[in-house]
Amino acid sequence: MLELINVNKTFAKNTPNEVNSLVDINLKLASNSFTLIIGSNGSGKSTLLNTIAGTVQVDRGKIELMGQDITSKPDFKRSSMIARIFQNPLMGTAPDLTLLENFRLASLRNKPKGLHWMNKKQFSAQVSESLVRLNMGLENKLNQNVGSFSGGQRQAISLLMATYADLKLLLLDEPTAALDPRSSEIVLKLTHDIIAEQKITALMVTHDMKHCETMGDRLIQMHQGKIIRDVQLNQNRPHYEELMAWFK
Amino acid sequence: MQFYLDTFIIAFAYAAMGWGIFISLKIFNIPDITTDGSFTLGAAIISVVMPKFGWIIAMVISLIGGFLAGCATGFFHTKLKVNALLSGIITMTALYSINLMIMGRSNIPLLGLSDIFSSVSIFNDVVFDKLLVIVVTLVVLGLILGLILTSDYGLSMRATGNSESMIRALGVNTDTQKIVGLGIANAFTALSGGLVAQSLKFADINMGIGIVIFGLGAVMIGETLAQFFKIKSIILYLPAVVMGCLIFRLLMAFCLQLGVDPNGLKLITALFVLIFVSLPQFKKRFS
Repeated sequence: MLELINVNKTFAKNTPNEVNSLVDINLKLASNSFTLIIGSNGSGKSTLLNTIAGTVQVDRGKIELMGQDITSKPDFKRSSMIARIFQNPLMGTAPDLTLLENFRLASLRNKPKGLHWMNKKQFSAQVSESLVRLNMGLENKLNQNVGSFSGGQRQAISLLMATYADLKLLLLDEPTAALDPRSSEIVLKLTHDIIAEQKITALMVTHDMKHCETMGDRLIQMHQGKIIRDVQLNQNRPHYEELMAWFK
Repeated sequence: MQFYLDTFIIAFAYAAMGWGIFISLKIFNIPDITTDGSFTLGAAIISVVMPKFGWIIAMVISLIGGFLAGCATGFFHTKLKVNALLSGIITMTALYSINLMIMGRSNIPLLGLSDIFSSVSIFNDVVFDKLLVIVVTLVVLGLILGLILTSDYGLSMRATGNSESMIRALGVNTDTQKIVGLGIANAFTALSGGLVAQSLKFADINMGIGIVIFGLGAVMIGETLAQFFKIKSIILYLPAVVMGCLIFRLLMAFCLQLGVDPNGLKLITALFVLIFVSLPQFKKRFS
């Protein structure tokens, strides 16, 4: 489904601040798989997600998605197949647009955005239907600006928006890092449910070892730009203590 | 009375420029200095094209000219990675020479020519005819801009200035959006320049100098009005900006009537803008 072949990325090349963020990364993701990535700060997890999303271009190597070479495609062209949830809940929504307007844009992810106008009544009904599952009462706030919602609400909205139109791959960059425990739980459950329902291939970066105890079917550990551990998560999942020991 | 009616006409002629600033500053979050050049560009094109081909063709060409000027600024900023402010300054500087080349001299009188304001003759007093023309023109332009801003394209424009990461993740090329958006903004500004030139019956190479500050002030007043009336709809922001232009011009007209030296008008403009820009801070302190 997704294949990274000898992918390399170095920042601040030939300067004293040179950082080898990705070193000869080879990675294959199967369809409908849910892979978690862990690693200490600066290990290259986010850079890996950025190169797949296309916001960072690789120095060397190749990225293929569904058999198509997407290495040189910019991020907005990859978005017809790849959706992304940012660590910062504020980055996944437009705060000065209403909830309905945000969803309108999400519904047009794979379509041209020309001089067309939405049928507000019909579209409101559709969006309300999908918002009900959040159980946050947002279906009654369609005309409210998204900027007035809490971080947890905005992250949940981002997730619904990202998966509103068809997609092949969902990238999640520490989606709960900026959320309080309760919002974090809601967003994680929603993530889990949507991935299972829509049979989406997902790749999630996380710093929370507890996620590895319950989520995903594959676990990758990165260190200094390299993949140093790649395990399938079956019934014998590593426990919290064991995972913590991997960092020593 | 005549003095204030003229002020209304000029204020409304400037309103299209206010919308231009509104698009660049409030929608794309880009302080676009191109305005100073594209405003004069509109007037320059009117002064040269209108005598030969009439005001309709002249206004269409000034619209296209302004659009291209804005696109140039957008191109410098997005493709050549030049700072947005500097991109505007570069285009504005280039436009000064281009405008001089178009006009051939620094001032062209437009007296005795058939223009948009002479196209209607309903009232006994020509001032009311002019007022009707400018109001109808503004309503038409406002409707067009309102339709653009509320369309899917307009939504993606607004999202580009609001959350670039989000809209790129949804498949929008934000570089193209900014280039076209600045093009539209400067098309409105050039149109405004053309309207002002037709209203004043002359085009001058220096008529755009400092105009961006006036537009900024009008947008700030419009925003203050929008906040006061709790306006959230983007459509209703457009008349708020028109009101901003009107209030600003009336304040200046009032200063002139009080006997303020016309040479000091730019200073007064700057002071007004400073007051309106810092109003939120005063409000915070006093509350």
